[in-house]
Amino acid sequence: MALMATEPVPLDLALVQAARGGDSAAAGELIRRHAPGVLTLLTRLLRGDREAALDLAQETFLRAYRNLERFDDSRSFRAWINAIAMNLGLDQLRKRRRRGERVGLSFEDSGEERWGPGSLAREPQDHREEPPQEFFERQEERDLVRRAIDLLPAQHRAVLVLRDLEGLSYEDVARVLACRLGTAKSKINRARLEFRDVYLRLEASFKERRQ
Amino acid sequence: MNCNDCLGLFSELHEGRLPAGDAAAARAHLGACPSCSAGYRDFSRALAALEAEPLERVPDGFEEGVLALLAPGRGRSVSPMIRPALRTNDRRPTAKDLAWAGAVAAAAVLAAFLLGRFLPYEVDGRPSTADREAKSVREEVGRLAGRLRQVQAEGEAREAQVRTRDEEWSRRAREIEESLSRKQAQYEVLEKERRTLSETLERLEADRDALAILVKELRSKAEAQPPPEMAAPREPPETPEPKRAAPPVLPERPAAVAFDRRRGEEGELSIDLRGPDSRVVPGLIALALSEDDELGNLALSLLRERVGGILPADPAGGDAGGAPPPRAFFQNVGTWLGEAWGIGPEKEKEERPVPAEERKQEVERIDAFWRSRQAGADAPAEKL
Repeated sequence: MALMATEPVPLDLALVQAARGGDSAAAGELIRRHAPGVLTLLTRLLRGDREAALDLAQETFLRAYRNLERFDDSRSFRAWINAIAMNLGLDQLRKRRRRGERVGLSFEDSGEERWGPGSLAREPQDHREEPPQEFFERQEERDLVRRAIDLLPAQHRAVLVLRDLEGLSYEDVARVLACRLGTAKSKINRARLEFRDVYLRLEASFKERRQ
Repeated sequence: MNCNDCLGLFSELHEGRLPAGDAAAARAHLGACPSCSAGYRDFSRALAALEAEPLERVPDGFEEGVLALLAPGRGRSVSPMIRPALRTNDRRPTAKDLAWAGAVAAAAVLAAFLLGRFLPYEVDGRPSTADREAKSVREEVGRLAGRLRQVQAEGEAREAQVRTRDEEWSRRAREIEESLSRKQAQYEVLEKERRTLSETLERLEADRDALAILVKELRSKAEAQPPPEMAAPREPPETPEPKRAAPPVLPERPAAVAFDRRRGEEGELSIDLRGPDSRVVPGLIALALSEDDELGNLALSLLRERVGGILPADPAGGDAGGAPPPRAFFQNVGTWLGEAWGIGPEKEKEERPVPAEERKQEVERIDAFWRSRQAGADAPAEKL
């Protein structure tokens, strides 16, 4: 979990105010602080389509800066920027669905293809910076987690990223999802329970394959 | 609390956000329900794996790409945070500035008039569909340009990483090569020493074998001779009382030869010799010619040992040009062993006093023989 504090962070607020005043360094710092979270949310929403996620992340920040004057300083900038990213990601998913495109590799798959060893596709990674054994072990673990997330519905994917990877508070998750706090809690719990089931099945399948 | 209620509280129980009463009830249910307990265990484990998942890495140049899109001239509206930075300096316009501004304004009006006649604008002045599409295309081009710069920046960063890694590997390779060459040099030195030691060992083994043969011969010779007790009784030498007055003055001889005359605890005279034969033998010849009989006889006996050690092994054989004489080292060792075992003629000779005249004649013969030996290796050996 990268960042736990999600209520209006003094630093974020100061950066936003400086950016409104034309400080491009403050704008750059805001991008640096929030780009990993935004990119993670979009990548998981688009089930690993990193290129599209990068484009949408860029668009997210462009929109945020265009509407910076409308940002409520009493709220969390992280929640605000994630809400923009989530809307863009869901729009993209809707467009693809209309065009009949398949998003990702596994969600629309069924049967053994969905749950079997073949679903453990790996993303290309630079593995030259760590010992091969450790790299592959960690990569396998990451693959399982990512694949398990990608097999969930879009709302659940978003919820898991916001709460468990980015560390947003329940209140901020509710703001991003535009729902009540109780609904957000319920969605978080349901997303986690579903993630548990998928993760355990993938793990069992992976262990069988290794044996 | 039933299983469904408990399932709905998993998240808050895991995060410790439940009120104390609800948490106690949930834990009580977990303690009583194996299915929920196992499910909660799996829940916690899966959540731990999820929380360990890192965020996506943002490529280098992403921030610059976004900021570049916010810059003017990219077909997009300029961000409010960038716009103030684009303001020009506040400067009061001069007459020249105003003249230029008027000229530019007139040109702009003329250009607008001319362009308005040809561009596909509708009557009400709103942009046509084609114009909107063109704007959209310009925006797309701007976005793609930003993306291109971003990709280029990523590529440059990656190249820099690869270059750094290559340099690091090259440095390591150079270090390994240098270390290898140092080790090779050390190996060659050690190999040379090993060869030298091996040759020395071979020589020592050859000497040891020769010594073993010599010892064997001496043993067989000793066994063939009667024991010393059975030999004929020797006449006790009538040696005069040794003169314990001042020793005679040694003749002047070359340096680097030490004749250390001293008497032991029992009063016997001894001479320590140090130096090569070429120096020692002439010195002994001079001592043997001394008026002091004790000193002369001692010097004569040492002279016999010395010169005898240089003579061929079998001088009576008459074939001086045959096999090379054994080394003086072996003869000296043989002499020492013979003395230690009480055999050999040398001991008797040492104990027999020689009259002064006889000693002088023998010393002269030894001197002549010595000089002939020294004159050249080809000179025929003379029988003493």
